[in-house]
Amino acid sequence: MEQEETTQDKNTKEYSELKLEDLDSYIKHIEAVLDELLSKATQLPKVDEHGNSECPFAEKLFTYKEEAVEMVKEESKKLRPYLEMVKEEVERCHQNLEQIRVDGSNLELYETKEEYNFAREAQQHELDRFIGLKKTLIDLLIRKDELLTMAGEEKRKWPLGKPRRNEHFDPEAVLNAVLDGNSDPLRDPFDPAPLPSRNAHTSEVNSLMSLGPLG
Amino acid sequence: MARRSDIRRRPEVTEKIETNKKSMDTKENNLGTIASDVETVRQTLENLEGGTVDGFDETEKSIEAAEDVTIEVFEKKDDELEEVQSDTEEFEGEIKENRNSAESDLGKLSDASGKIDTTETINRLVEAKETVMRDMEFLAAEIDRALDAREKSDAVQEKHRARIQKGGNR
Repeated sequence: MEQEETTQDKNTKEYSELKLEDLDSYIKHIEAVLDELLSKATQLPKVDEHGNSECPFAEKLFTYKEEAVEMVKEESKKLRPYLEMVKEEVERCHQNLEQIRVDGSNLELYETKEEYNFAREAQQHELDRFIGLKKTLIDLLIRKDELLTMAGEEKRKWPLGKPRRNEHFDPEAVLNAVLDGNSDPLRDPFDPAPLPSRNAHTSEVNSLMSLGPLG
Repeated sequence: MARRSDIRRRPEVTEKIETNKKSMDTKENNLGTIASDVETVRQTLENLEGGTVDGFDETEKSIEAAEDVTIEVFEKKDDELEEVQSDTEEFEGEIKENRNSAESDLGKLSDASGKIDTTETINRLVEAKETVMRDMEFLAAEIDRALDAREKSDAVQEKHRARIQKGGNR
């Protein structure tokens, strides 16, 4: 318990620099990080207990998933401090609303009461916004826990311990090359040699054509 | 100098001062209520806790607008009270003039009584002098009543104005 408090104090101190102004962009960021983990953890190839798979870059995909797990663990550390900040804001808005309500009930002038109604609406709007953010942060915490549990399932673990990155082959580079239209469909995708450029192919074909018809 | 025919009748004087006194009382009470509203609004502004994001600005602006509109209404009601006070002061002047006129009449009656020997006429002059003197006493009392009401109203008005000005520099 004592240790937990110490950790909490440390987190509070560490994240005391967090600003509510940055919360919207942080939420977008953490959502993207969680999506990335979901994508990586649900696209793993089948492997046997020896690490054999029909997919030649299976280990790499498991490495990516592990990296995504680490990323989620690191980036989600700000979720709770942000949630605490938002809870404080919700409390502040509630207190302001009560203050406006009590003081408003003591007013006599119609014109003043009208402005208090506007103030109450504005304060309620701010409260609703923070309640929405609180819900979003709680949903993200739940989603984060669910995703980490799912990513940690036995069937999603590399059977030979910690998976290692195979630096000779980068499936993402191949995928990017295919998407960019720079790939050679005849090229062995597992060949570590760099992908030739389209211009290189064109000049080679032209050179062959210049030799004239064969035999 | 006002002629005797210009002098207002007693019930008219009493009623006018009473009406103005009531009107000033009502307007002072209104000012007091509005001043309380201003103080409440300022208390709200002081007690509201601002956030670190833009959302609170709208709330704060509305309460500041509440303060502005309340002060505007106060100033309007203050002007209305000022008008009644001025009207009362003007009426005071009018009845002072009536009193002076009566005083002058009294002097003339005294002069005339010295020149008349007929007992009957002298008796009539004495009666007239007594009537004028009663008028003068009545007008003096009414002048005092009007002045007292106006001074009290001025004091209350200043007190309410001070409440509005206190802490009013945002």
